[in-house]
Amino acid sequence: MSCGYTDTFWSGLSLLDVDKAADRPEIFQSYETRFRMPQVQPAQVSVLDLSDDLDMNELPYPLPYEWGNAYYSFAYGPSKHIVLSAYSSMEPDSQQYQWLVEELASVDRDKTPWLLVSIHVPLYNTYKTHHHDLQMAAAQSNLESLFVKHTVNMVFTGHIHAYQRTLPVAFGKVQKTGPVHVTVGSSGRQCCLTPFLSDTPESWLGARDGIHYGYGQFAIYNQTHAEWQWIPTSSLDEDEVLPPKDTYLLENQYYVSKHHR
Amino acid sequence: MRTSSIERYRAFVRLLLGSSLLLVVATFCDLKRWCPDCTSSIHSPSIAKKSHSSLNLSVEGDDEGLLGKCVAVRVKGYKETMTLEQAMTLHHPSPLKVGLIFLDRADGFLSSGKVVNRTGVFHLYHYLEYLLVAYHQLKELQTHYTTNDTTLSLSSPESPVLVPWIYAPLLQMPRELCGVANGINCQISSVLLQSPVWYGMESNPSWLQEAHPAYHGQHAKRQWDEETYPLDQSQNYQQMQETADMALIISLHHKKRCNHAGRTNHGWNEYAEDFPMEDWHQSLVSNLQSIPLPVELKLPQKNEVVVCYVDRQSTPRRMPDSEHDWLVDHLQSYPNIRFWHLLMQDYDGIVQLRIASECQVMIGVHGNGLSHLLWMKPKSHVLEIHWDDNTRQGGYELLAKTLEHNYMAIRMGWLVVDTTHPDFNKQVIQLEGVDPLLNGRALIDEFLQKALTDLESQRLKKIIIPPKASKATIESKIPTTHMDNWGDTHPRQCDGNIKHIHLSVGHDPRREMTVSFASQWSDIGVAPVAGVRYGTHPDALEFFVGEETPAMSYNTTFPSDSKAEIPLYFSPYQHHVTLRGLDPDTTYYYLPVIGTRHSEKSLESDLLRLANQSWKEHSKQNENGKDYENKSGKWVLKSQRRRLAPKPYNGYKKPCTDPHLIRSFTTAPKKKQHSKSDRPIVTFGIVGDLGQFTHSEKTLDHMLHESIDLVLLVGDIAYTNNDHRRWDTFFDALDDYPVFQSTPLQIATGNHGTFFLMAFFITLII
Repeated sequence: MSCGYTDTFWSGLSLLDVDKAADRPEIFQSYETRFRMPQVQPAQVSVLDLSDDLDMNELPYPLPYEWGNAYYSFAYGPSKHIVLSAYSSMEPDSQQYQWLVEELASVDRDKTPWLLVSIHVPLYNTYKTHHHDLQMAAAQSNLESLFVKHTVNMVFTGHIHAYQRTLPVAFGKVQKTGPVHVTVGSSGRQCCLTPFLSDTPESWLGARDGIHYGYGQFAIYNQTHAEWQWIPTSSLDEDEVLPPKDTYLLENQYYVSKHHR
Repeated sequence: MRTSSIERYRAFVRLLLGSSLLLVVATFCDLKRWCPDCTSSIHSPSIAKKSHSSLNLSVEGDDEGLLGKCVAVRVKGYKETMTLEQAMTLHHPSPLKVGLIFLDRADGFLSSGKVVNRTGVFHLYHYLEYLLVAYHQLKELQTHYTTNDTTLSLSSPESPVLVPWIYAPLLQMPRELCGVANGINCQISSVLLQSPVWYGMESNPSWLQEAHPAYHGQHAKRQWDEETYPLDQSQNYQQMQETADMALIISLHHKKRCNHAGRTNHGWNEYAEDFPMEDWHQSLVSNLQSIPLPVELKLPQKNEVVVCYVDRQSTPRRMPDSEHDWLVDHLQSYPNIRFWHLLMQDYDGIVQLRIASECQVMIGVHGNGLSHLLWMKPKSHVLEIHWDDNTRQGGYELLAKTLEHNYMAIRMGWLVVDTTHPDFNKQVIQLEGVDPLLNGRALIDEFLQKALTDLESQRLKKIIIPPKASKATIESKIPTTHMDNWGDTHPRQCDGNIKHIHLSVGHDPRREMTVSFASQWSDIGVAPVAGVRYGTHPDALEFFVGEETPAMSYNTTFPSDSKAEIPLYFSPYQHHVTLRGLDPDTTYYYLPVIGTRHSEKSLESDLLRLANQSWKEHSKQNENGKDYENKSGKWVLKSQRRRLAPKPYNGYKKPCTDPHLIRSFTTAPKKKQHSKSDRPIVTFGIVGDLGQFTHSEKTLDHMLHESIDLVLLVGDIAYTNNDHRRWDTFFDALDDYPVFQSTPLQIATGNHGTFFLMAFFITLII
């Protein structure tokens, strides 16, 4: 099956063309120039040293990009958002990791009962692609324990051009107090048919859809309940009747864990 | 003199509290001392109900821990306590007289188990905390019951003060009101105490005279007659009972609060959201103008910043002389500051107010003198220095934050960045290989620099636009040079007009929003100056905020020839303007504007000119544009919107976004908010891997019609694949689906090495 259109345009370009300026050889400059997130500190961006024989199956990790629009946090109503950069280092000795540890520790769940993390790469993946991404491995091994420890409610991710929602999960096992991970990578970029890794859904899987475009909504009703929705918006076949929304009522794991203690 | 100063304070309190009768009674952890009939101490959450028999007040324990929560209301003539809502539905002769009782408090000092009277120093600023809570509570009450006959009038300072006095436990602790450094709280309290009209007491009893700071500034006399204390207290309750129609009992309870070891300052842990700081400060300062400054304090020259150091070296809590001397020397020789070395105890109270109101930066060792920060202009700068291990209370921090001062606390000699640091109260964190004193000095320097930079940029902000128009114009230039070889990817030109408008939240989404937009291409001319006009009504955008930093741009090789020596792509100039000091949950209307930058002039002067431009001049750029036509007085797009191209978004010769359309956004709600119906409190949109494709359009279109408060784009934004024109075409697409002109867009670094990382993605996925 072919995608809606082909992408021959892309194939002719050099893949090693780091965004480079004559007078300011920095990467991420466009991202830093065109957006302004509530930054913790000004961005630290340095020259990326890419050799010509780079193995293209392995994306460079980490990239020399710290602070700025890369990772930051903000509170919005009853929720605290932490946005992470999967392309900066996530190793325990990294600036991002240490900032994250402090940030998680400082969250006051009385004030912001909902703790929501956004990161590009998913920690759970029911699809066949991307299983060797360094970023995903790093996120999994370094970040999941922090998310579980601090009872993160939701982890929002993209990267895989498909939809997937886990059950509350910790370290591969369904656990009431674990975070729910969702992947909404099909908001626009080709979804085609991203094959499943296995026809039998994993035990932690809540829902998956690799053939429709859509996006998510997360609605907070009070300190204990919120609703996740994945809304299919279009499909490759214009005549197809879209499937219903995937709706999931979330009971705040933080309070669940408090009651079970 | 005395009468007029009383009047000033009354004006202040009126502004602060509105026009309701307030009976402020604070009780601390040791409730029994304050409430002899109470059966038990309030601070145990397990005690659900306590009662004060003589008053028939009952209090329900509450563990909310947030901004003071009203837990019970006792109305005269009713036996049972009721909720605030129930009480408000009762018929009362208007206006209602309300008493407020606060139970318990958070401050470490007071919650240490030693009640105020034993220590003998009472910090009035703590009462201001209560008053802020009172203000907040009553404001909410007013919001909820505006149609009720018993509406409380709070917002207008002109409203009559029904019973113009504040009744506070101050009355019971007059002997040693004023601590060292002669803090301003002493002044407030002495005025309160000396004003017979405020509480109907005999004027100027001798103990009040003795308590006056001019009488003795230091901890000279700390005697206290403990026996009379509870007695006075019951009299106070009695008075309240006789005067108020209703008592609101507000708990600031937190279970940890009274635990000395674990004191966490949680009970009162949120600054008052609605505190009308700008209003009261302005009025206060204009009143103070008539008070002459002491001759030794010279007013600043133009471009100088007044830095005040509140000296408390004559007291036990102080810095070592060496550090004090260093600080004084350092500040004296620091460029561009007017240094005031203040020994507040040398001045009369009202003069202290006048001095403090001129300070733009205040530095001092923890203690009463720092409460002068109350009278500084909101959004000033405050540095609290701790030497003593036991001085962290959070009180000054809280007050500073309520007034939106930039606050920093350091512990000289130790590594501490701010008091919110989790290790602040633990033992010393020693910096390895760093001289702790030098580190402390470096932190002071860092604070000063930040304060000076901020004050510099503040001068550009919040310019109220006068009605008179100036003659400045906005130039419009059409780029040519770099367009020659652009093949089939064509970002729109838009004649240098504003485009690509998108919002992002600031650090506090309730109060800050960043408006980002692009203007002309950066390979021609000088970057324009930019700002945003905004207001709460589309017909009166009365505020102007200039950009804090000049426009940004970049250039790069294009599209894929990394060997090229000449940059071939020039981005448009990008502007980011942050609106601050907004009200929560409020809709604002805004219009980004640009003006000519004269390279020979300062950015400030160009921004001022822009701020003074007329609407017509702002619109001129549109009239010069080619994409709009005038249909019966209204500018409309010449042609219809087109679909996204399957390949790069092709907006060449297509309509640009309307650069003089007034757009709007709504700020984030307060944290503590209960959903009134089955509607969610907040809804977030979560989007991933969006790009600029046919299906991206459908997602954007769907979101346009939904009620979403904020969108998280979790990576893979534009799919530029090294071709930076695609950033422009992506934003062109967003101009056609303007979700993010009213809803903040927060992005995660996913593809953001976009230019090359996306190339990898494509290879792997296709």
